Amino acid sequence: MTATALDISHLRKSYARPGGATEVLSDVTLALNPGETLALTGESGSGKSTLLHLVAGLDRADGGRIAVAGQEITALPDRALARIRRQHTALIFQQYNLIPSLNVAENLAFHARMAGRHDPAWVQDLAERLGLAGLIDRMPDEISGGQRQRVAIGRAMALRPALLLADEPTGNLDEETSDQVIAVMQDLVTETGCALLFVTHSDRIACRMQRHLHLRHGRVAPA
Amino acid sequence: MIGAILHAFWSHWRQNRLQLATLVAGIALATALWTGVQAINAEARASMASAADAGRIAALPRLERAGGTPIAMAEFVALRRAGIMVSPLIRGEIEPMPGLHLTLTGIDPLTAPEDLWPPGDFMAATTPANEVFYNAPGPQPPSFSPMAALPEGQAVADIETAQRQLGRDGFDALLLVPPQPLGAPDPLSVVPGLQYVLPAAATAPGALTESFQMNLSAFGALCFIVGLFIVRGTVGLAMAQRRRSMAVLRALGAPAQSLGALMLAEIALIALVSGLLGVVLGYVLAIWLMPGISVTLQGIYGAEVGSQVALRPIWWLGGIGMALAGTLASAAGPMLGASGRAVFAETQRRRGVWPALAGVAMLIVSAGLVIWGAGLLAGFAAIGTLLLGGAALMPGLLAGTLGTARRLARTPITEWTLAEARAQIPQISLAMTALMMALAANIGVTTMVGSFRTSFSDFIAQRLAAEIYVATPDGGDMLKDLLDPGEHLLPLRSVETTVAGQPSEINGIVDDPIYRGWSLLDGSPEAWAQVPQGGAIINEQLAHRAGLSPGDMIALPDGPARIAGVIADYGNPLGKVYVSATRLDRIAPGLKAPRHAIRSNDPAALRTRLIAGGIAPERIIMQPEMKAASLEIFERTFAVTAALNALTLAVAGFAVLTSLLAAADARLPRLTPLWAMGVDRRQLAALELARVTLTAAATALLALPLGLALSWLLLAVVNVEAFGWRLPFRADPAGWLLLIGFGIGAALLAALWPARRLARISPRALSEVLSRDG
Repeated sequence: MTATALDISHLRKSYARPGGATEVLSDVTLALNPGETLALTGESGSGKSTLLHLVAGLDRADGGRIAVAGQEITALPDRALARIRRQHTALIFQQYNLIPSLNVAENLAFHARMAGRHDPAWVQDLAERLGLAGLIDRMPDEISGGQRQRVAIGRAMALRPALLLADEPTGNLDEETSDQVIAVMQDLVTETGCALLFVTHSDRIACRMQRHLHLRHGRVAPA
Repeated sequence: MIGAILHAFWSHWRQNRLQLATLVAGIALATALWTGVQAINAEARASMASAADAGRIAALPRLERAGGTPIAMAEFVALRRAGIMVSPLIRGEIEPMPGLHLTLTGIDPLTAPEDLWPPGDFMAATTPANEVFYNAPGPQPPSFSPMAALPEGQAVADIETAQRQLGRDGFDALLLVPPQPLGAPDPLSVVPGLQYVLPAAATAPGALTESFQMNLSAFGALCFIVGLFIVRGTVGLAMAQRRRSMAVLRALGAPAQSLGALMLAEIALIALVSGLLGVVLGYVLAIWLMPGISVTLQGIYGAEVGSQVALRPIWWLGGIGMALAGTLASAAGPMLGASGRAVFAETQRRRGVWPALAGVAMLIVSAGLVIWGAGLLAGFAAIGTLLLGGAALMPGLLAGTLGTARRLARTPITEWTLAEARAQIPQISLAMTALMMALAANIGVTTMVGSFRTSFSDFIAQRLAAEIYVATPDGGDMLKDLLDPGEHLLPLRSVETTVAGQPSEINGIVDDPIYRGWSLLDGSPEAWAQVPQGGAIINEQLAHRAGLSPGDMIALPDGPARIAGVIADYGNPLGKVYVSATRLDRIAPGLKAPRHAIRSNDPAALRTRLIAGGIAPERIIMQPEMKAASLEIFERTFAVTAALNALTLAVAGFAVLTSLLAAADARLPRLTPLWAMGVDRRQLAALELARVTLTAAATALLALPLGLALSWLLLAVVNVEAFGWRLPFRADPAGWLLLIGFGIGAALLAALWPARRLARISPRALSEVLSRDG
């Protein structure tokens, strides 16, 4: 039996603030199967990014359970969390977060090489499908925002991750570029069979995912 | 409006306290090192000026009788009547009161030159007769008058009064008062038995120690520049961070001129406060270094310099001025950029080409100075342009080195580390330039001292080949009777005179195998055999200054002599000529030997025999003791260079630390993508350490050729100009590796704190960077 790509149950997270702790996530439960796409929407400060960071192992929950590709990560130490990110989880950010000292080709292959799963033919294929073939020698600051986001997608997909986490990846792009980016991302998710958790403000984009949940007052509900 | 702008400025420093601390520390450190060195120089100059006052008499050419017997009044009169301008001089020690020891100099105010020491009160006094002027603390002896212009422990009186005080007749010497009338006869023909003496004149330490002070100033300037690198880096970062606030202030109606003027006032205030702190630190530094410096000056030049440091306005006011000027100069570029008067992108583009071109131009100038320049100043200018040229070329060469290394990397993390190290060069290049200059100076000076040490050890081994040395103020006539058969007596006799226009010492040597062990710098292996035949061996100093070489003729007081060879003679400022003992007898008849060397197969037994024969034990020095004493003086002489070396490396390490701390926040957006891809915080910290270490290692590799070029300049150019002798270059790869290790270690140490902070940063802070930047 194939394990769920993401399994979250009764997740809680609060932050200390002057005047007392503020609960950001309260009893969040959701699951995501391989090949499934899920949009998560919500107001600013509703905890979308916090949830994404907890799933990525970038932050720690106060309670509840998270399993990625069948592996419980909630109690893992830093080093083990880093290994999960390296091997199974890929992230795409609104701000691209490319490595500025490496060129496009090197950025594309970087995560997969770190995981020891570099497939040059697959990376070459990705570069062509993402329209980056003519830009592979360029540095990140020499290409446009849309092109940078394509590089970030290519870098994530080159890993063939079990779980793809996207945090407002189209927030900086115009509508047309945004649509192109979403389309290519969905194609690749379908092709590789990874699960996609897509955080966005936009209902228009959220509607393009298979499932759509809304985060309000720290709890998830169907949109 | 001004209040609001200043409030906005101040809020930056309040939020970036570490940055403000770095700026203050940078200015204070630069000022401290500059001020400390200037305080030491001011003290050395003051001591030297005092010594020079006391030695002005000795700086005049004079006539003395060989063997040191007094010159009679009749002989003085005969010379004056012959039209020769001479003035009598007598000198000796007196004790006018129990415990008060003074050096008394008797001069004749009527015939002495007008500017003769002491320049003021004594020569102007109408009735100096019977009165002794002196300078010493404590109760005043009867009929002695205090005179502050005299150096402490010195006394001066009219020559008759001095003769009475000293209980002696006649004169020690007759000063030759310039200018001598044309057509005056040769004094030696008027009074036979006299000889020309120009003793301490050209060996006065002032001229020689100038080279040391220039060296020290160069070191101070180097440290000052390194300190300003810190200032420039910090101000640059602060201004970059402020650019947005500046744009807002301008949008709100603040005129660019007002912003510029207020920024100038702000930085000047910081410079003033930090400069004052630096002056205090400089004073402490000078007090700490001064004893070592005074030992060095005494060891190399025999110059007496006190170990106290006085508060002199020349250096503390100068220090504050330098702090202000240096800070404003180094902050001008970033401030102009921030106030919107410079096009930043354009400036960035230009940086790639112009520094490299300027660097090459400076290296060409340096080479030109070596080839065509003359004098000590040209030597130091060559060093300065070499270091500046190296500094200007450094970022480009560093980028090339790291780029080459990156092409050889195989793993993604190694590639990233090298790519980041290369990409971060603009941010860290000032600190790395500081490190490179400090390392180059270390390598240069250490190689010079190492070469000096090896050459000096070899030299001592040759020169102190005799087993026993005996001081013989009585001439040592009794020594012969105390020797066993097979033991050789080598009288050490010399007379001071002028040879080829240079103040020199003529030594008379007996024909002994010991001298053949002295290696020649120039001349045939048979050179020593030519000495008994009337030939002469000269030292390198005389050969260099007078442009002499083997085969040339020199005029000695008894006639011409052909130069047979040139020998090394380290640590001695005088020219030296070695002739046969018989020839020296002709030059200075009856000259006694104040010291003797003795060859013996059983030096311990000889020592016992000499003591039993009536030679005081303190007059006997065994060869190992003498060698040890000479080498100890050498080591003490150069002990201060070790302190200065450590100080420059520490400053460079601090420059690296401040640049890393200043850039720490800017580093996070470049590191968080790695963290998101599975590199944990500890690994990130380790990678940052690796990046700095790799950059420092590449910098250290570049510093090596620069340091070797510097050592060559010191050995082959500056040394020759300053002392007249050239040291052979002695390679010391182990020492260089150690210094490179120190340089890398200093950078690593500086990177530890920022790396530790990175390892402990909260994941939330990193997550926020991921979401915010990129």
